[in-house]
Amino acid sequence: MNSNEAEENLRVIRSLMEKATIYRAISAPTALVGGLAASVAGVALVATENCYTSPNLVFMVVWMSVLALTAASNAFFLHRDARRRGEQFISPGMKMALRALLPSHFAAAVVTSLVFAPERHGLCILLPYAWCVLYGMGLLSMNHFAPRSIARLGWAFLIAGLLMTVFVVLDVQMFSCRCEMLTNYTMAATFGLFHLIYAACTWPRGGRKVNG
Amino acid sequence: MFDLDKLDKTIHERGRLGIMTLLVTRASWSFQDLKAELKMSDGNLVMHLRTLHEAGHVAIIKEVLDRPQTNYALTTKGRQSFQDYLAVLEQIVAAGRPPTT
Repeated sequence: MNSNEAEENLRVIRSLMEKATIYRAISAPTALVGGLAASVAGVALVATENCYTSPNLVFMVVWMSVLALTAASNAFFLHRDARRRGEQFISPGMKMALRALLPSHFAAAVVTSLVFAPERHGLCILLPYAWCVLYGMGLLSMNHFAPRSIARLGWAFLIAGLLMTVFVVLDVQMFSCRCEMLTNYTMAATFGLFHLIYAACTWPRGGRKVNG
Repeated sequence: MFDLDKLDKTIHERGRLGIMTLLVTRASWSFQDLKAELKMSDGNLVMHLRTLHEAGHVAIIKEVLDRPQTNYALTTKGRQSFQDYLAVLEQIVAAGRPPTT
């Protein structure tokens, strides 16, 4: 074997390894924590909607807290799994996931900060739909190295977000009458329910080994 | 001149090298996933897996989840042999490079 053949073999190995690397950026326990937090927050905000003088501020504080809690849980569970497998926490897979998620999450941050300016509070009704679409696109951008369940979750968010945007645009009257309630229901139904379904579908199940 | 006897001939065959490469990326692979990723026929894949199993590089794991499933994983010996194989390839590449001044 000469050096060119050896290089070719190394190239084949590298490309196969990159293709076969699968990284699950959202673990099932994280989805459970996030799904439960979003469901509880959504229902609680709907139940207490008349108690606040500044519902938009409350909306933002509550949902940013849910995001922070979910992100912290994800970091904890990913760190625990990486340690159990004897791998680094900031692995090449995690770097790929962060690179894939960055554009959509950056866009979500920009849209949120623009809409949340006091003079544009009326647009807050659109935030959950924008978040759904951008989060869905972020998940889909991990398609080439994530398990199929992540892509399905991405499609669910993208389709739900787009459908709801269409409903809002077509029926502004209905959606504007009680917008705080609708936005919170939307958050509970998507970020809550979708993540709970994802957790149920991907929860690790113990198998019985019959032969070593 | 490089000693080619250092290359593990069991791993060096292209199909088996593909199998070993995939197995090193995850804890285990199902037969169907290996077949889909490598685009091999059933017979070919079975033959290569048997060769690797007989050489002690690959373990066969039969599990019952919703239904019986056969998975394949690298053994400790297989993982070590793969790393040795990579090291030999890197030495060959390094030996073929023109010396830097």
